[in-house]
Amino acid sequence: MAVGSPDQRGALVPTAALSGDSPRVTTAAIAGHWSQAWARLLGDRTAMGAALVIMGMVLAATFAGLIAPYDYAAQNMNNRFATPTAANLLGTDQLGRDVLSRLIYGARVSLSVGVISVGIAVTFGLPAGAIAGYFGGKIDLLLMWLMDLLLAFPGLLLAIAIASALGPSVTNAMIAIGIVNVPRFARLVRSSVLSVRATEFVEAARSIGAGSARIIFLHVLPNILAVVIVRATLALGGAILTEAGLSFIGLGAQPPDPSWGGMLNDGREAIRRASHLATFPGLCIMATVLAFNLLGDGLRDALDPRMKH
Amino acid sequence: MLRYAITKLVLAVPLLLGVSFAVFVLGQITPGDPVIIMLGERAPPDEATRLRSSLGLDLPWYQQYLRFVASAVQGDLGISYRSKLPVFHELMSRFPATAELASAALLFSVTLGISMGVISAVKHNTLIDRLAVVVAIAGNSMPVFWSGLLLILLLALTLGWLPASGRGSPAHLVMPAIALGASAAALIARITRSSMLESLGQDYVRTARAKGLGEQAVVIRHALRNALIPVSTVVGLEIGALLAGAVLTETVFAWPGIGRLTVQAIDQRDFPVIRGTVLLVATVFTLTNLALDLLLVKLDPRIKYS
Amino acid sequence: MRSVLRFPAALAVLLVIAAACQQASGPPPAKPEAPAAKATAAPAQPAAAKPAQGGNLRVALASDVVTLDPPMFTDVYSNYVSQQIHEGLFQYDFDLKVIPLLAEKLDQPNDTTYVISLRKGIKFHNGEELTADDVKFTYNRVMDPATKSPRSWNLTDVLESPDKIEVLDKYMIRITLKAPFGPFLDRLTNGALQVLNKKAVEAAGADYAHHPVGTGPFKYVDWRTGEYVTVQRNDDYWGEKPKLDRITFRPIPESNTRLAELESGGIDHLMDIPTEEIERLQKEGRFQVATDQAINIYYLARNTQKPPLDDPNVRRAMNYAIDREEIVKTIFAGTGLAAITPLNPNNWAHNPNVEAYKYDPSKAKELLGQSKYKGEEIELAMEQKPEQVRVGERIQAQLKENLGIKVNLKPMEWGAFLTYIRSGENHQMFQLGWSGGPDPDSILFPLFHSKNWGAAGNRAFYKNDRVDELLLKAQTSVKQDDRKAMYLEAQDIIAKDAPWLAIRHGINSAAMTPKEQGFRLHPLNRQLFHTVTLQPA
Repeated sequence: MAVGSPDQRGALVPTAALSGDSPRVTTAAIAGHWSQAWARLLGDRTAMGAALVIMGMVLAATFAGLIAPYDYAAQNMNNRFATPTAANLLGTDQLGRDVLSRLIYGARVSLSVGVISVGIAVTFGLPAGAIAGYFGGKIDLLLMWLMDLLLAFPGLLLAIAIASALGPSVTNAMIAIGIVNVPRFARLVRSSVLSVRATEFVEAARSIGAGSARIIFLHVLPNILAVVIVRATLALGGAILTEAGLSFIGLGAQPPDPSWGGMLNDGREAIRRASHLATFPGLCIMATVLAFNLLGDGLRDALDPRMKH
Repeated sequence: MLRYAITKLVLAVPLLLGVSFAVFVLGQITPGDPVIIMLGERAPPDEATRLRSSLGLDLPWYQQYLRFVASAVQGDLGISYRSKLPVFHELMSRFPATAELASAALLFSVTLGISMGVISAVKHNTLIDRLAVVVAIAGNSMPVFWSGLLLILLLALTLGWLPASGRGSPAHLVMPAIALGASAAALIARITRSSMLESLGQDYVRTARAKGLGEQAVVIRHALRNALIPVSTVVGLEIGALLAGAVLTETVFAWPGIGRLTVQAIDQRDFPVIRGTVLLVATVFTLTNLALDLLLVKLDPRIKYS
Repeated sequence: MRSVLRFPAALAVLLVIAAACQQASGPPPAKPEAPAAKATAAPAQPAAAKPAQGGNLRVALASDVVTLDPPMFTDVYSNYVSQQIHEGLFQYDFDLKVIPLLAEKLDQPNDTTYVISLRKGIKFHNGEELTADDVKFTYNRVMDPATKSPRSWNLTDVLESPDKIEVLDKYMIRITLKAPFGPFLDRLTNGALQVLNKKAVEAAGADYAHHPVGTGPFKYVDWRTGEYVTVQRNDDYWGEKPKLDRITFRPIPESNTRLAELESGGIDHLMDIPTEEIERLQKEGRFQVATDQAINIYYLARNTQKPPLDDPNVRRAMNYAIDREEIVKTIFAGTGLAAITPLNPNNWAHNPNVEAYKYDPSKAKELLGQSKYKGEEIELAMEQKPEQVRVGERIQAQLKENLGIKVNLKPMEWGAFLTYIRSGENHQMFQLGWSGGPDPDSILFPLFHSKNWGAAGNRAFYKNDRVDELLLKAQTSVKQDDRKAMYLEAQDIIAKDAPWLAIRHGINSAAMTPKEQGFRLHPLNRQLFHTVTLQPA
């Protein structure tokens, strides 16, 4: 299969769900394809472990009010920098606030930053890439030029610039990170669409007079969905890291609301005196990013069985 | 191929114009007045007005933009508000340091990433494989200001093996390169692993084995070569990420590159420097990718120009 | 296969660009000392009890040096380095008395005239002798609009024109002010007014910032942007000759990295240690830690033009509800002094009897009840620095707990913050610091006089006619006793009106390797290294 021009380099990242097999046409076949993938996923122990961890984080974030032992903003100036004890399982911070409670509430911010920013990236990147890939020509040129523009900015700098311009807040951090990730998704989707478009069944569908929208929705999208899902899962981890990076510059969540990135950043100041203040949020970030990555890997393995023997 | 190259170069011009315009607009809408920042806590209004007009900041924004473009095409990127030095000079005196760091990080990530990926694929589904995957991802899942600090505390402070910061000898390059390259290494390791797995399952590998070739020859000479094609795609994109990540790494390790310059410039709203840096990085990124594109087209017969 | 060539290709592209830039920017970097190298010491002097001579002191700075041209200073680090090279006519000694430095004698024939005689025989680093021409040239240059100096107001405020600086003879200069101005000598000690050599500046032109020539104990040697600035001993120095051979100043932005460098031997001297670390370093005892009281004030201010903060009872209630002693003890680890007025206790005009607002929650509630506060939410803005945010969080908690006031915190990046609090339209409460000199005018006038509303200093937008009158009169008087009385009264009124809650007078600090001897902290944080010696390892 001709891979096409260097502009499609994004597709050469081996999400091999595309190369080779012609995807099947009928709805039933598509459904069967998905249910097989689902079965494979359930059998992958690493991925399931990762999914459990993520589920745990999500539950903690959702039911923070019930789980957290203390109010995350409750200060106690007589008990600052406490190391882990029975009363404060993970110790206390510079103002005597309970670290465990702040971590639990922080999960909300960190997870929502991940989800919403990737959501923004997909919401804009997917249609952009699909339209560019499917219709080609001038629209393609214009859209990809726009994407190149965004890509030419160093990612972190662009996020800093946008967040600075919009003002420091979690919402603006999400928007900034989302915008930074749009070109990656657009490029990926475009390459996938280009590959799918070239296959025979789309020709066939067109020859029997199916409209563009129908073709896009029924045939093109389901096949690129796999690629997008995998990439989105991986991008979630990256988004959480970028939020930490923004906190470093002072542009993430605003106090006293905790975020893991913010806690890590604040903890750095006291690292020689009370290392637990940075270590615990650092571990949370690591665990979550690790989990998202392992889950993404598992999804990719499940959606394309040729990877495993 | 020449036509392809020229087309791309021509398209690069509106791209860079677009980038410079975007930076300009961002500068306008970002709150923060460079004059007030320069004057500090005590900023008498007359002083502020004088300074503002001497820097050309009292002109309407489109005039300022046009001035900027007009001088930029002649190679004059303006004068830094802070140091009063030409921006071009500021950038060029620091860019070699960043390039050095990025190259070292690239070298590190490619070497480590490919080795780990190959080992992982060959020992697929064993403990080594799983461990390698986890380590690779772990390297990717710490913000660089955190991993950098941990490296300094461990290798410089506790063990005393390396200098904590600064630039000068190869020893100074080790920690920053590791901190910066770790996430790229992780990505490369995983992609190498999956594409190695794919190519190891191909017919030609079975054929090679059947012919009686030693396992090492099979792995390296046959499977790896094909596996590297997708990996090389990622490298091009990673250069951009490395140049960007250098911003935080340079701050942590006091590395005298343009990343640190940019952070300071953003702090001070030193617009000429910010514009100059973004333009420089965008140009480097575009040119590098163009060069790599051309090389890739030359090397991989499957790829044609659209 | 050939696609493998892609990696070296990528590397090659990057390296080619790097090499090209290297050519463009000059010779490759000189290698600074490896961290394990011991300080080199010249052979000890044969005379008895002579301190060790020589050595290279490596000092860490928190930020890059921007310029070594004094009128262009916009940050303190440039000044710290410049202080080794340049000197002014007057300076403050360790007891905060103004002493003549390059000047020898001062005569004041009347309130507005200063006749200054220079020391004779002082040589600049280029061999030229210091004359009155150099002083006039320096000051005129600061005032000249073409120089675009952000510090020109130091002179243009008080001098009608550059002609009012007159050269009387080779070593004598006369300055005539527009009107009597008490703080004038204080102005002359300012870093921006360090004296430059006319010949050297005219020769160097725009390059002077990188090739400074002064009269100071150290001479400029080398400056590698972003990496280091080096100065070396001036053997022809007119005063007490320094013992060190060289000083290398290295900018290291991250405070943890700076400490790691000190503790691993890569740096000898660190200025301004984070308060958290002072205790730890003192306990560990491996390094010398010096602290002393600085002349500055960290404060909470309110925009007195914006309801409900325009009601003094609201402000006074808040002041009683915040325990500043606790903040100093906890968040600032007991360093520094809890403040009751913007002036330091050792300032000659300090008023110890102002209303101190000692923590008293019940009095706070009472006052709030008498005020027109109706439950509005109040915003508190500060710079996005962890220590300041912690203070803000504490204030937020105490106002909530003691008065039921909901405070919304707004940490902002520095540039955005300064711009936000300048116009008076938007901001309500904010935290900020102010570094002044020993002359009370440099603190009280910009902060509380109504003509300085906004970016000029008075961001509380405070206006009190009597205070205005007092501050202006004190500024134009040259008799210290008169001025003192006026400043005492002004502080009293200001404390009652409570536009501010003064929180803390900060400290200066330094951490040093035990090999470094003879360094003494100065209350104004002047970095004086000419008395420093570096013992051999």
